Amino acid sequence: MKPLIWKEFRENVRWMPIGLLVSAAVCWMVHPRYQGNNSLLAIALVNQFAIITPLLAFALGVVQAYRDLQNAAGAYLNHRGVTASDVFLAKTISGFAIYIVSVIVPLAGLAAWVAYHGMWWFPMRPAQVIPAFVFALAAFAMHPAATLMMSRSASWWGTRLFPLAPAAAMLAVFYAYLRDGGLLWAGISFLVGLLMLAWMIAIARQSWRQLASDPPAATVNASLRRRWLLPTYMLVGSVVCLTTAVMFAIAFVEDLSRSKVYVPTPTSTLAIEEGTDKVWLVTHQQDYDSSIGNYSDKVLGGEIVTGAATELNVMANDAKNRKFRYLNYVTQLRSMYYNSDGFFTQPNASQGRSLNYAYDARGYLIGYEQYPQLRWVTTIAADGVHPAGVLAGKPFKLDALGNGYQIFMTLANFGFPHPLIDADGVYVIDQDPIAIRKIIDLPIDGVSNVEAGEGLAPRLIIRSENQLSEFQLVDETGTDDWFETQRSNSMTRTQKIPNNIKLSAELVRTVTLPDAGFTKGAFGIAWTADAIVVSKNWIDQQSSQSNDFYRLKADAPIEKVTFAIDPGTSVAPDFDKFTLTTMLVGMIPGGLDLTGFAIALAIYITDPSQPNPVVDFIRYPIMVSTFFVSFIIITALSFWLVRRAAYRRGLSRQQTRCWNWSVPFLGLAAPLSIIAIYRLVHREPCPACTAPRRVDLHECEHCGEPWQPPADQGIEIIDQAA
Amino acid sequence: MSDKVAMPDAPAIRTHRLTRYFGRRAVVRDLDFAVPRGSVVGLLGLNGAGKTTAIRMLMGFLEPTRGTCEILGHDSRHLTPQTRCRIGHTVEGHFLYPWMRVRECERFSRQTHSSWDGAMFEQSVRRFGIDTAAKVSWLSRGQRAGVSLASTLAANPELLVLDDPALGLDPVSRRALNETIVEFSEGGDRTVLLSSHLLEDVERVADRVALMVDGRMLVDSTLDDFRSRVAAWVVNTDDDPIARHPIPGLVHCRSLGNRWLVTVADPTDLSREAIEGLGGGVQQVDVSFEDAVLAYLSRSRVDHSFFTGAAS
Repeated sequence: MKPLIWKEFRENVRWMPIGLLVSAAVCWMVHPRYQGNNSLLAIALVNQFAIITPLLAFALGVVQAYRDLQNAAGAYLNHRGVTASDVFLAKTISGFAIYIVSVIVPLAGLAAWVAYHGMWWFPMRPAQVIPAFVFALAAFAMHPAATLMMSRSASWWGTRLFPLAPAAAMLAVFYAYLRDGGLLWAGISFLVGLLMLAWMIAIARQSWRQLASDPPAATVNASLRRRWLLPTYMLVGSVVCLTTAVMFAIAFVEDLSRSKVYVPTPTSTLAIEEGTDKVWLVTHQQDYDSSIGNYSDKVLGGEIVTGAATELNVMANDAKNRKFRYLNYVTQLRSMYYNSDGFFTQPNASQGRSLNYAYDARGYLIGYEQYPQLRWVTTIAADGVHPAGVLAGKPFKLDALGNGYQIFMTLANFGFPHPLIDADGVYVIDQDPIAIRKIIDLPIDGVSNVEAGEGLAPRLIIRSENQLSEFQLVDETGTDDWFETQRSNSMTRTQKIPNNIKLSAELVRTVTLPDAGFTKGAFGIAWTADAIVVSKNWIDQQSSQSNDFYRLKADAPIEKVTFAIDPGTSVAPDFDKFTLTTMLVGMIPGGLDLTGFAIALAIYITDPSQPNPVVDFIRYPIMVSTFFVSFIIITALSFWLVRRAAYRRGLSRQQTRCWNWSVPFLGLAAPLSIIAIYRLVHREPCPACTAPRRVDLHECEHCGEPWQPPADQGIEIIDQAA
Repeated sequence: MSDKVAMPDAPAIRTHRLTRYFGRRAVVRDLDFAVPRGSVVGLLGLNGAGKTTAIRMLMGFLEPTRGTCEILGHDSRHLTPQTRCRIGHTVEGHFLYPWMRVRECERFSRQTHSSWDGAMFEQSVRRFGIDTAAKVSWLSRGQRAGVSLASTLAANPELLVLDDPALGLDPVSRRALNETIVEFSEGGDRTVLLSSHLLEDVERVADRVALMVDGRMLVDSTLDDFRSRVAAWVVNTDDDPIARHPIPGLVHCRSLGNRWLVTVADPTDLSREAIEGLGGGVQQVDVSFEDAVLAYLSRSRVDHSFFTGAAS
């Protein structure tokens, strides 16, 4: 195989400069100087590589395959002491060498440049090129996909289009995980990518061997034994193509039918009345208020939840002209905040802080001075502040900066600097001089920041296993008078910010959660003076599964309150109607529908607070029946198309029966797969029975008559030796 | 038993009802054909007659739609690299990698064939006057043919399958090509299948002729046998003589102004009577190899003048 590899390399090495140029240009473009300070290297690099590397691999596959699939070149190359597999593997090996060099050299150059500069003017480190490299490795799957596509006997509808779809779909998944997955997902993707490449190469090799002899329908349409790789791949390809087409159609229809301006939607939810701390079920909606230039909440109606057996009227006038606090979420801490690339978060200028901070996934906050130029000036660890240039001290557990922003959004929106939270406790950064103080030392499983009444600072609720601890954030005077509610309009940010307060935390009370269901997932929480209110029913009533809440007091038994809603007063939007989208959903292969249903059911069984798919089926009769009518029409059409495609490709009765059985699961993908997998057979009228008979069979499939040799013309000169 | 000595008496090439369709069209239909070992067979036919398709099926690059073909005793669909090394094959147009130098072509071929005769390569290259340091893209068509043929012969094959090797060659290169083929065939029990449009060349080097018309083999015999079994008459008449009188064994009837050349295969007494019954002056004429072949080839195509567009 060595001379074949040498030949392929010599023949195609001229494309390497193009690959190098494109990759180098991308590595240049992702430089933060050109992308802006909000760009993170790994994200920018993966974004760019997601475009260029599949194209490079695809183009290389096309040029490597094209010439040697022509008659003369193919005969010259294949007619020697080598096998078709040798030829294919030589192409793959040399193609991979050319491709990987053109990708690795610019990436290595970028990594070296980043290492040389360090993080002095932007959070960057050489390891950020690894996700892009792993993506580039996976993107080589487009090379064997291109050789599959270049099959000379293929039809554009069949083997040309479909081989690209599974490879592209897999790359989309890689992109989703590598874009901000950091080193962990890069490692996992690397292993999965190797498996994917091996699978793709095995498929393309099988196809290449067939191409070398261009088999007729009789050879390849008979049995899939020992050649299941390519048919399976084509089946996946047709399912992916069909599903993608349906998804695009749904997106198009939804876009056409959706309003382009904001339409206020009423929502019914639990809320605490200001002043009385009573729990209400209120209906409210966000309306645009032109007098303040912002959105404001408007209560449409509701009733007090007393626990009585009567059904609540969610539109009762009782709730009007009253003020309410809505439930907040108790959420899990995140390992990385969402504005990250898995290595750093975007440098962020928090209100009241003089520096831009970025979280380094290794567990540190990196502080950057903005003026006169961007410069790394400090490193903050969980146990203290360190000078720039080193990552020292005890690292944070999880993204303290991003979690702090997420939890204390109420404070941040009002212009206060927000504390930091990681899995070990809560910290505040003092300014001038910069210092870090740990104000709560507690293992944290979940956390929330809830409103505590008009004019009061929001309270911090921390969940440690099944215990909820409420903390009050106080200033040097021991009170939370520091908190000022500011006008919620678009001009808020211009008001003076009291950023010189030094916050600390005081434990107010600790309560125990009612059951284990609250220790996993999110739940709603609200503050009242005498109790903490928790409920799984914090979403709107449309999808609520449990209409109840709990009052948790420090030294009193748990009080459970259940309620029922008068369905006649429901304001939930009417989803149950005929839509084109539902019709289109019926075109999705039934196997995928069943899988989705099974997953939803499994989720419901393991967590009964999740929506019950069976109940949803009953709840939306029009949507469900529209879906089923569409599904039945598509299935009937698919049956007809399968019969027709199977006849035109000469499939046996057994094969046709198998494909018919697959129709409920594959839908239109079944006839598409037949077209992609099998070759067309041709028929001529049988001289004996006049029925159209296959030209690739020796006997007529209708009457058993063998082909008759052509009649002598009386001029044949054939001697004995012949 | 080694691969090389398998079935020594069997024909080098044998097909049985070999058929190939492209779409709905049968390009080769029920082809029964054999090439005895040690013979040089000229495969003739018009463009589109199915010669190249038949050769591609023989070489295993195309599977038959139905029927079978064997080459050196092996099913063409499953040729091993070892069997391929026993078969020399040059394709139409003498494909070579244009970026290679002649020496690199030689090295590439040597490394991918089990046996290699370097002296044979040098000799063949010299015959075509080729500089081995030259790039293939710098070579003339004739020189490329020389390199291609040299690479094929240096592998020391038992069977040589040449697909239109003289296409576009100058007379000197053609002569060199023919000499090379003759020398090759004289060097032992070696077989040559030569597909060509150049009847002179075939007549010069081949001892058997195979003639394909519309995917069918109409002639497969020795050159002498073929010549002896075809006869022709000139008939003086203005009208097409065969329009009114069917002639047994008629191959072709061609207008020569106000005369007609009637060519017949295996003429019998019945044929002679029919021709003499055409009226006018009837005169038997000698038939050259070229005339005989052209008569067969003209059957599938009405001869038109490219100048006037009229049927001749």
